[in-house]
Amino acid sequence: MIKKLKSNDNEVFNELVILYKNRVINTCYRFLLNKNDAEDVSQEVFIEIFQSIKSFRGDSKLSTWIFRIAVSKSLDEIKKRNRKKRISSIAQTLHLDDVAHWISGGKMPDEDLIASDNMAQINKALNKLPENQRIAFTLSKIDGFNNLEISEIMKTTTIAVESLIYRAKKKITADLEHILKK
Amino acid sequence: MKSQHINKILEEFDALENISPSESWDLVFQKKLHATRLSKSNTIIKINTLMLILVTLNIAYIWNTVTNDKLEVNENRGFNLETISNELLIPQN
Repeated sequence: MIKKLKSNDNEVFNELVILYKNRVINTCYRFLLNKNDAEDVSQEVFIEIFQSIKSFRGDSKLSTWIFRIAVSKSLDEIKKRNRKKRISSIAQTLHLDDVAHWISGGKMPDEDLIASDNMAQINKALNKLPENQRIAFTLSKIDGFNNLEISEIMKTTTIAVESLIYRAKKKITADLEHILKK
Repeated sequence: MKSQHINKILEEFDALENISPSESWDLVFQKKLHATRLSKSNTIIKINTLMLILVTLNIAYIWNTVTNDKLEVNENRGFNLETISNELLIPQN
């Protein structure tokens, strides 16, 4: 399959998309907690696969490489969101409401994207986690990912993954306590 | 009470249901893929054109240098022969 993909075989590429589409979308969804964003990012993931399949050396499984791209693209999107949010809040502080409105694309990121309060709160707590803890914790919640697969995606050991998940849970609980206190 | 609420939040996150791609996913993706393919082939065409221009300019420069050098060598040769003949006092007529 990889050989055919490298030789720009469109049919095989379409097969790959069909095979991984659902899992990639749901991986992005777990990170972004928004369906539209997850769909956009998952499409970018497959575009990236199409563009850089030739550079895939086969050091890892194809699926591991695909989910590594999905995680990295999702984190990029989260960073973009957070940047927008920061600039928008600075603009609001400076009473530049129109600028804030324009920067956030007409609405504050996350505000109406995350429907329930609980999801908004956990999203806040997740945003405070170090990146590697966030990846390990989020992937562990997705069906079909065991610690071995997560360790391959993160290029680390299963013991390290277990530790990251444990620390992430602890920190999320502490952060949620802090958020609920407010 | 608080820990119950936290557990509820965590459970809600755990139980988040899988989503299915919308009907327009494939259509939008094919459009994006087409645009990527187009821009990729455009980039290749641009690079090839640029290479062609550079090669043509290079050939023109080399050709120009070679032909000018030839003239210069011929002129210098005539001048040198004239100087030598003057020094040896060979009558030119």
